[in-house]
Amino acid sequence: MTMTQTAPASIKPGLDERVLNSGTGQRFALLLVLFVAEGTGTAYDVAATATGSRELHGIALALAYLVPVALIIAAVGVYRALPRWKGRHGRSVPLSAFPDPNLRSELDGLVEVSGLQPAPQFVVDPGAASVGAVVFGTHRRPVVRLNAGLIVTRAVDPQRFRAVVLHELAHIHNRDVGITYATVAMWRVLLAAVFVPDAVLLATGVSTVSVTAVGSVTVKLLIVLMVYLTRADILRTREIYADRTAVGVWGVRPESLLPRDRVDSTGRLAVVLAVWRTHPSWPLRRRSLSTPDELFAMRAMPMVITGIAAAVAAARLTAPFDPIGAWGGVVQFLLIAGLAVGIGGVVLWRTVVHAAVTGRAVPSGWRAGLWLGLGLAVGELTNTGIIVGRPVIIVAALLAGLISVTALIMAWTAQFAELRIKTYRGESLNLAMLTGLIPPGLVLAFTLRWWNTGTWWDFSVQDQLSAAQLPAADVPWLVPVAAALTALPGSDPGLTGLWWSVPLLWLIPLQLWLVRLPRRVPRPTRATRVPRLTAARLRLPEWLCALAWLVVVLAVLCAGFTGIMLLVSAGPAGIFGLVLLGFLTAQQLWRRAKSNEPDARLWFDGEDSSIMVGLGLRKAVRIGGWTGLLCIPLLLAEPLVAGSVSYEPRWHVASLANLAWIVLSITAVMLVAGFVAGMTRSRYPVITAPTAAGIAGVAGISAQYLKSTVDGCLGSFNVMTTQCSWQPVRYIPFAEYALGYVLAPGLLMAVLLAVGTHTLRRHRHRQDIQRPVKPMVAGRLFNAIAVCLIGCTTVYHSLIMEGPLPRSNLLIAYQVSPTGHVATGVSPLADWMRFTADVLRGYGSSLSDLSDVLDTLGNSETENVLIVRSDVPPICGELSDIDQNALQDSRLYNPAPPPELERLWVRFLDAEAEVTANCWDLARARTDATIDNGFVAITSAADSALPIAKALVD
Amino acid sequence: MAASTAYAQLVMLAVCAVRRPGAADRGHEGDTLETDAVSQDPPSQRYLFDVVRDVIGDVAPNELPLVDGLRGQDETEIGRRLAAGSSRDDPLGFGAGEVVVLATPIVWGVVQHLANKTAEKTTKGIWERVRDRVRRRKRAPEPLPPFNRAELSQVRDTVVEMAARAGMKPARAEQLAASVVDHLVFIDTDTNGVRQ
Repeated sequence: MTMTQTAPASIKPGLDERVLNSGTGQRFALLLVLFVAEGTGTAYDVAATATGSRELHGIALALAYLVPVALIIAAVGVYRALPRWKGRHGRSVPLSAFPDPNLRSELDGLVEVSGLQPAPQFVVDPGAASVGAVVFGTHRRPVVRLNAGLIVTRAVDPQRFRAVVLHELAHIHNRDVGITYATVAMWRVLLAAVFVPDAVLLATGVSTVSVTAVGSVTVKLLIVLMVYLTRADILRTREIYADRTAVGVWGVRPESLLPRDRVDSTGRLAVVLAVWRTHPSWPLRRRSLSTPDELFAMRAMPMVITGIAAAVAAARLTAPFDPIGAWGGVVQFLLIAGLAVGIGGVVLWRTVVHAAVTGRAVPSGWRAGLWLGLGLAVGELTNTGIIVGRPVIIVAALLAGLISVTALIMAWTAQFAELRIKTYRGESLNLAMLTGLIPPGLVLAFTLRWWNTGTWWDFSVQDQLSAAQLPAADVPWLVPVAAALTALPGSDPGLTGLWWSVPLLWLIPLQLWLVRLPRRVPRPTRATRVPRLTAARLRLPEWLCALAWLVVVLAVLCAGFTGIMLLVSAGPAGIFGLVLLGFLTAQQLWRRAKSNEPDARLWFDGEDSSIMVGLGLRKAVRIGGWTGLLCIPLLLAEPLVAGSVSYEPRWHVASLANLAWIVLSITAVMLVAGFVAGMTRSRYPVITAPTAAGIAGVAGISAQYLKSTVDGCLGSFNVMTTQCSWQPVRYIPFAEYALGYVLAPGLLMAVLLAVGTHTLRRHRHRQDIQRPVKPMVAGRLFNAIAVCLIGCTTVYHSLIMEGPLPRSNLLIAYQVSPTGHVATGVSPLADWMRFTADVLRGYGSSLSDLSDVLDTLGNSETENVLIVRSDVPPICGELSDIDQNALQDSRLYNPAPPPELERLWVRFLDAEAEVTANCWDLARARTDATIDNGFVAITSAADSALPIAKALVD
Repeated sequence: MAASTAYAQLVMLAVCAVRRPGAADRGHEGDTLETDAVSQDPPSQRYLFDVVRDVIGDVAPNELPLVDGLRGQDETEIGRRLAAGSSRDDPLGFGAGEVVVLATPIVWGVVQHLANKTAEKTTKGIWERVRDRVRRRKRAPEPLPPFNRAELSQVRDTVVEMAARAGMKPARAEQLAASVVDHLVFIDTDTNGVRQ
């Protein structure tokens, strides 16, 4: 215990703590999500236990969904009842009971200073001896309760009285009341919701101790602990904000807020105890009054708790969200990843802006990411699907992967924040932060979504091949690679797969580089401008900024989308796209003209107005472009490695091998680009590496697209066809299928490699050349067209894709329909082809079985007749099924296939019917002679059907 | 010395009984029929609130605004509230800062406790208390019962002990205890009281 003396503190001019969103709202939202997730998960578990099945239907499912609604209603009820309970008769005395007119007029004066409208209600707690007060109630009707100790102190120390009351009014001004008591209400309802259902199940005997034992209770205790610690942390931060508002905005003397002499415990125990308290320690409050460092600091504990809460919420919501379908999963993970990155990212942005302004070392973001990732990993340990029945080393490796990606995402966030802050000043930082947090949020959602599908944990290449009716042995080595690819994220090429979010990691910085707008930043003359200007800027509600950003993004997406349409087929949509592109270009030019005016919206009062740094993206673009050229020889080597129409007649296997080769070769080139980018001396390796690798990947995909377009005219380099004709869209799907794999997991791997390389070469890191950035008119034009087109091609293709497909279906789709879309209903011809291919495969499989049986005839000790009677009829049954259904089903496809295809189809079915008839004859054979006749008949019929099938395929 | 002080206060009490502001006010502010009877009490009867206010006026006048705010409130409720103290870690509270040693809760608590104990036989039964509680009817303040020497001695000791426990300096605690006894001594009209 040490005695600390009160040093007169004073607010120093510096960065206003309100320059960026404080992140409290996001943390509250995460608590809310956790609350709903736990409620839903518990209800689902209870319903599943009661019905004895994890697959809930009907009323049981509806009840599981209704429980969280009931919990929210209960929490709202508690929220409304809390003020009545705290202000109940006997607990406090209304101010009107006090005859002292000076007290009332002084309070009125303080309310006037704070500018609060309407004025809060005041009551007195006659029993509270401390010189303090408390605010409670709701956001609309706050109540300030003054302690008796404060009332008594007023006579001897009026400044103290004024300071304490203004501190409480600052809580109301900072909108702390509603959020705090909503958290209290949730906390109380959560306690009941978490533990009561288990108690009921145990009491009624529906559940046994073993079911709800250790694991479940541990998770629940963890949730309760997290909610408590988060709530305490939020409250501590709000206290510091309230102190600083009272001092910085309303002119309270700092020493009036601090005790005169105060014994404060120090040491490790005090630090441990501090995280449980709802108020910061006095030394911290004293420090925070003179400098806002604490409000910009990154601490490990909130990061870890955020990670755990996000992972637990994701795991708890997975089973209840599952019946909703793919979009349910997307919403779930977007919400949770958005909150996790929203909380961690805001902390990082705040740390970075503070470091940039005060000239301290800017954090790299890796540490924050590691803490967040560690939290996610701990939360995942509660996800029984991953740990049960797996060796510890495997679990550790899986979790290490998750931590790496999370660390990468947060490092990107920190570097982008530094780049954004140092390069462009004078604009709304909150808007810039929002833009900077969207890509990492989406990428984390992509990672978590793939992670929580869970089925890849038990992935087996052999199982996939056999499920897709492919031979497990004696196939080109690229076929198992293609099967392995289906376990990766990116195998769901649709919009709901979220793979398209990963390229944003380089498209957004690229866009930033292209629209760079230097500002003439006037040096502020008075530090006192900062609070005033910040307050003025804060008047614009944040939701309006977010809405405006959303509108712009939607406009850009529409422009890109319609631009692609224009390339494919000109029409009204294309014209509309052109108009939008023109609008965007004009807007950029207008922004440039405006940028020459002195910008009044200052948030920054640093001494140095020339800290703009070069972005270094020019080099990254160059690396990406040059290494991208490596794709051309690799793709041209495709027929040699993967086979082609010239070498390999088994087209369906070859198309799978081709896909694997395309993905492998482009990914390899991206890794090279990442490696080279990592070797350069960029200050922002996590920005430049994805740019280089992404550009290399896009170059590879474009090369593949061009190659497919001219396939058939390339001589020995032909892959799918030997007919040289103009078929611009026929083989596009090859590029499309590769897109998801190349630009999502491929990009992440390349960035991780680049970061590793960069770390090893860090000692050669050099100081950035600080130079003003020149405006770039051509760049803006290029931005409006190129980035929209590149970025939105992915969205366009995602929109027309349908996913997710089960893995075996994916393999079948790749092998059957290399030239058509996977989705049903998009291309009737592709659907018809897939259907016919299914029939062909079924026919081939039955014929192969029959051939195996016939091979045993004469070689076995068993009599031929017995073999025929036992083994042949089932095969004949399969053939009969195909025969009976195929013609009928093929007529369901509308529009009908081209006439020549249909003629071939009918001929094939006739041949197949003959094979079936011969098969039944064979099955009825009772002598060796009739068996021989049947054998010959079947062979000839099958031989006559084969050329028709080949013609169909071609 | 104590006897002369007590005598002087007896004279003052006689004066105050005619124009005692507390008694006069109570006659107007009562919200139940029972309180109307208070104004017609004989001057020798004193009430808890009056004793506390007088003691605080003597010993801790800066607490008078606080005591004045308690006028007309239910005595039991106030006693409960004063005894509850303040919670240290209230969300959105100012925090566990400095604590003022308040005399009011000590005086109120000790006197009320003793009065309840002394007048146990004459107070309402449990059923009546429950009924009042349910009906949320404010109970009329009852005059303090007379205390004998032993009880006053107990009051003095308890006040000193409670004050010391609350962190009051010993000299001030003694002063507070003496003041309480002085103000209670006049209530004893019984010939067997302390004056003998």
